[in-house]
Amino acid sequence: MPDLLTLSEPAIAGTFGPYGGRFVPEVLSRPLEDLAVAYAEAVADPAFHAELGALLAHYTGRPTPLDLAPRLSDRVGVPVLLKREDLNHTGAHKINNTLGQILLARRMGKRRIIAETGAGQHGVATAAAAARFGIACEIHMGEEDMRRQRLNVRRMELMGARVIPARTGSRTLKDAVNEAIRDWVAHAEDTFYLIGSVVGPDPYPRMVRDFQSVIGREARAQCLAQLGRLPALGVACIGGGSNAMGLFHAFLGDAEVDLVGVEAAGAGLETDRHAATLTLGRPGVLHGSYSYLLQDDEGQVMEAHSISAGLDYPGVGPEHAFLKDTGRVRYTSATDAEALAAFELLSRLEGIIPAFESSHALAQVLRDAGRLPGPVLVCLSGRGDKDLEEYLLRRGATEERDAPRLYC
Amino acid sequence: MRHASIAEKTGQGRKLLAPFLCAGFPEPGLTLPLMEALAEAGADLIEVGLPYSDPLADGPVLQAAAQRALRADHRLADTFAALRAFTGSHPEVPVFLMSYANPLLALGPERLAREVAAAGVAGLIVPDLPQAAERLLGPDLPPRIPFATLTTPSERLEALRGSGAPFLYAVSVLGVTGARTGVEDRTLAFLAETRRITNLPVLAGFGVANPAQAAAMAAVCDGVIVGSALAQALEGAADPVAAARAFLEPFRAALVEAPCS
Repeated sequence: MPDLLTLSEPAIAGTFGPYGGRFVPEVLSRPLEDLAVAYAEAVADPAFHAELGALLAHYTGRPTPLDLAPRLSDRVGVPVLLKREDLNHTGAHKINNTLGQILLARRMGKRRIIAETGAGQHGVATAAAAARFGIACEIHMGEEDMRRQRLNVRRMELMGARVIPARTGSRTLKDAVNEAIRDWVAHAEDTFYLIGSVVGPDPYPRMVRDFQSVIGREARAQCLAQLGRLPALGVACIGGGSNAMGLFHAFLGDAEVDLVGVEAAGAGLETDRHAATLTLGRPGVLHGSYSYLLQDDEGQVMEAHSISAGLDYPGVGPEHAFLKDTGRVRYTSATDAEALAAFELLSRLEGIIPAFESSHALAQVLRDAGRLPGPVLVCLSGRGDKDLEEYLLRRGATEERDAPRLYC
Repeated sequence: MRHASIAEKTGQGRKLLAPFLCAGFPEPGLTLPLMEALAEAGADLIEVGLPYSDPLADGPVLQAAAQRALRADHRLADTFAALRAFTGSHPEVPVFLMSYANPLLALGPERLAREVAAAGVAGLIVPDLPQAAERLLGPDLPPRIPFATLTTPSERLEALRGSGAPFLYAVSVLGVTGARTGVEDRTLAFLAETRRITNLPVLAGFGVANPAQAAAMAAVCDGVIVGSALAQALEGAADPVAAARAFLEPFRAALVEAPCS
């Protein structure tokens, strides 16, 4: 793209090289500025850190374990360490960010929380945090995702949240974000928009990264304590990219640690049914920031496809775009079929059912088995209970066609 | 070709009527005849929107209009062709192009400047492009229309004074586009204040539903932009061109009667 480096001038807050920024309607410029100021004040306040730390310890159960997976390691040929974000309260890394933002919402005196959700994990984590703090909560969720993640819809409702179906476009995560932003445009005075990934206008990408960076900080210290060294490789899946930014951030300065982000290749990169934004997209504007984007030649945003509702997103966090261009992180992809095979394999080998999202990271490691430097650190971003129904549906369909199992 | 300027029109005390038309809606071939009908029915300027897949600032009516245009395979070239034809024959009715940032960025600076110049566009309205990132669009473009909302700080409004912008787009509600009934007092105060501070022609948009409401707003600023209500009138009309004319004429009449402030 031509001359986009102009964006990196310091006059514009919250950019990563040419990426990021605040591409929003004028009505949101004031709320975003208020949020940036409130966040800066919170970061400087020891009481904020103390309260967040206590919540992460007692409500979420942090630190999460770093688990050397013995049978998976045998299969891969080098030690594989799983950062067990699946063991967080509500079953995924999402709660790390949700708790941070809800504390901020309370500081700002907001009376209502809204959020978008894809797989439902961020919605569940938001509903839980809102219940804990007694704040009204409404979750925008694509109608298609509500079908795929029925149980998570019920969980949110059980915790007192209202789930609002997004019925536009592909009725998935992208459309849920659109609806949440429109909701915020109309209600910014009393409403806090709790974004679930490292996407959106500044300050969200850096704020969500900061709240998720506990993943990498813990994992780095645990690696040193348990193995006496850093991993040779860190791997995480990427939809918007929050668990990946959370894992990578602590290692960006460790040149000896290779970092790999794994996008969803859906039905395959050669088809038009994938969500491989960094691999096949071009820079553009979506949801308030400048980053890579799946778009057609006239700048219309394309629909993404993945078996994983959490990765089914045509955009990606702007910091990932920057890390791709600088070469610090390598971005690859795994197909639906590869992710399903990894989902089964980890369940069999370790008794851990991973989320479809995390299965993409595992699939990348399995694909490279025998050729990897070790030890390998994988962010197991969430647990897979939510995906069982979809798994059985897919597996049933595949078995009817008598397809061979890839790893068993 | 020289456009009639907005300032010249408002200088004569006229209250301006600015219909918003989503290009390609309700059918791709109708963009030019609809623009002509709107001009005949008394439009002082026309805002034409490029249909976009993810229109963040738009409510359900204009979202649906854009989706329908895109599904009918209305392309960028179709919009520019209609604009070219209209501006060539109607220099007295300037045309402003509304687009979200991404389709303009996808064109690239050179092609964008060329297309916009050839189409005779008088100004660009880009709701999701911050002023700080304006350079991304490139040089040699017609002026950008600034926005003001109920939450815009007065320092920012003051900075617009003397900016020479053709007009200021005053977003009269906190929310997305879409017709609303009634006008809040704070909206009227906001419009008057914005006009006083910026000294620019101020057009009120978002939520303008009927002629009476349009007249009430226009009484304290320089005119109104009406979009969603027009799209609703076109939706499902047997003869959209006649429907456009019938929709706009009462607005014109109401604005002619509106008192001058």
